[in-house]
Amino acid sequence: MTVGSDSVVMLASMCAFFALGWVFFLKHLFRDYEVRHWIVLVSFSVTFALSCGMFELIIFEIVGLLDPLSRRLWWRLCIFAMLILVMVVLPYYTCYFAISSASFLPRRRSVRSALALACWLGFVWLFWRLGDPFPILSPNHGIFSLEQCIGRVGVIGVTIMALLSGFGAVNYPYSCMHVFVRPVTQSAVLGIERRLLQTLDLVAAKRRRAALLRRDEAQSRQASGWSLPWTAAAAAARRSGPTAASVESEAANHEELGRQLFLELHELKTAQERAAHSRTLQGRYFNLLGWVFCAYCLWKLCSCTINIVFNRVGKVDPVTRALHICVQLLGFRLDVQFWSQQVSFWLVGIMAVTSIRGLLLTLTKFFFALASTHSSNIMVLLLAQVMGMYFLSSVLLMRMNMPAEYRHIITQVLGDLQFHFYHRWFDVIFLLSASSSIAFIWVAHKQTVGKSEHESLLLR
Amino acid sequence: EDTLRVKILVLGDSGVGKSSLVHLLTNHSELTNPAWTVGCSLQVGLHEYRSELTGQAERLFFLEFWDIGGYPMHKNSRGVFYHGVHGILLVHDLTNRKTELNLSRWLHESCLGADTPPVLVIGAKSDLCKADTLAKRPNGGEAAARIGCPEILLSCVDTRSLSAGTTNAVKLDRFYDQVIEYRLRPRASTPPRVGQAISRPNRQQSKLLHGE
Repeated sequence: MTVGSDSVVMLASMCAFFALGWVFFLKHLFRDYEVRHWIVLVSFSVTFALSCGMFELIIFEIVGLLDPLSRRLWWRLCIFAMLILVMVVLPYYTCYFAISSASFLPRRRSVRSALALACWLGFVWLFWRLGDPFPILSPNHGIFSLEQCIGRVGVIGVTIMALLSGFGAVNYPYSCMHVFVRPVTQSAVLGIERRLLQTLDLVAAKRRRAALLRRDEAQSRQASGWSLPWTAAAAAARRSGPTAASVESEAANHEELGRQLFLELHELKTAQERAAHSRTLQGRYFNLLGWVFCAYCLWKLCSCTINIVFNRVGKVDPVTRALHICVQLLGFRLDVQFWSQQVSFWLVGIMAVTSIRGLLLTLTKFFFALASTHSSNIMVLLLAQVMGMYFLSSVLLMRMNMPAEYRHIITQVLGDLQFHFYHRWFDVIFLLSASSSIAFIWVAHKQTVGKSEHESLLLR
Repeated sequence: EDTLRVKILVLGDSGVGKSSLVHLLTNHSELTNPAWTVGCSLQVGLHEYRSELTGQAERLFFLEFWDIGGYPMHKNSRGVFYHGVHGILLVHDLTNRKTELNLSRWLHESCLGADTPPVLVIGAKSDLCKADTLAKRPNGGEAAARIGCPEILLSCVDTRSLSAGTTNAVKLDRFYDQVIEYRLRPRASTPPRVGQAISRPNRQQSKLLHGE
């Protein structure tokens, strides 16, 4: 296998990933918005393609598919391109679109580009300062080397990974398990709907009155020929009754109450849907998954705590350790080399697919919740940046889950980073994130349980 | 009071300009600080209606505009607003074509009975739109053609879009009259009156439902 044919294979798979990212963007993420700047679409797809390409290269490493030389070449290419995207292209365009959407700044292209460049330089300076307090590198590196950049990107990416994993590990069991499903009666829902409609009737009555008062005020202003505000107010005072403005403010208060009631109704309906879903087959399957995840989360919390307290650094990856247990303790006779390769392949493959899918789902949820017509471009660029940093750091962390003979390519490509630091940092942030999520969800759950008891008391 | 009320729903995707539009229709001025609508915001306007056929004196009607927030995640709770509707205003953003394509979905979501009330499609943000886009749709765009109703293009920050005598104002007044007639007619299904634009027949509504 020559470098040429290997490159063709890699290019073809990159193009396939690019097309996948393109379709995902157009059909799912941006389905309510129009794409007016193609650079957003292209940079998102390229980031996605490079991330998938990196995972693919790890899989090829384990299976031993392409020529080692071409693999190393493509690794360097991917890492370099990813760094350029995450540090130059995406931040610059984020600044450019942020400046474009600010209406008080001048509209000329050159001015906007110059301002965006200045913001980008500020970002790069901030980015550099961010990495200083961390013991990322060994002292024998230059100032502007690849390892410096990767190290810093790795810190941010590992933080994001740990935050998301911590929150996800706690939130997923909570949302799936039936123990936490709140029973909602139809009468409670109908009660809130009735109250909401009554409040809206009140608002309508007040606004009708305000409309009549406004018309009367306008007519009396025209009739008397005065158009000064204080004369109209004086006339209203003489008329001895409320003015349109006062009735309007009362209506606004009632409308605020109506908004609260609507949000409560939405919560109840969501809880009702969840209860209905839990009775289906799919709901029961998710419940089981929730229990499994709960056990995994507890185990991970314990292992993180132990790692931090005893300052233990895992030297042996789980694959090799599992095989050792099988061979030595249980007495199976296995071809360790062969099985190590198989298990690593499946483990890494499953981890890659689940992490890509998980991240895309989370990013989509964030995007739908936060984006609007003005901020859609900026949100997508920010999400692409998070995605790039996340996948780069997951490659970094994946190194620990692979047997030693497959680790060295990552070590070679990413440079001589202090990998142990990243694992320790991940453990710390994961612990913090998971414990604060538990506290937060506990408080929220207690609040909703208390509110539903209050509601049922009211109805009785 | 013997003044009657009609309920008009204002529907459309989040951020198209429904709240600004409703403020323009009821207060005849521009909404200076629009905030995102959560749930439903109710505004009231007045309209004087003179029935052509019975020749009675002009009666004053209250037009209650129910401006419903367009968040996709609030979809499961919006059903409570869709009862007893006499007219529907579908609003889309002229700078974003996807909002127009979603209008049929909004109509489908809100029409609960077999009988559909009068509908008017409004294209907002015409001031942000390029002139050639506006020129391409003199008789209404895709959504209006599919639903079978007239369309108005306006800018919610320009009070002159709806000043008396403009085509927009004429179409709007005709829509209000249709809504009031829908409200006043007896509950059983009436045959269409001669020489009057009617609300779409049910055949078109089922075409919408199946064509989605």
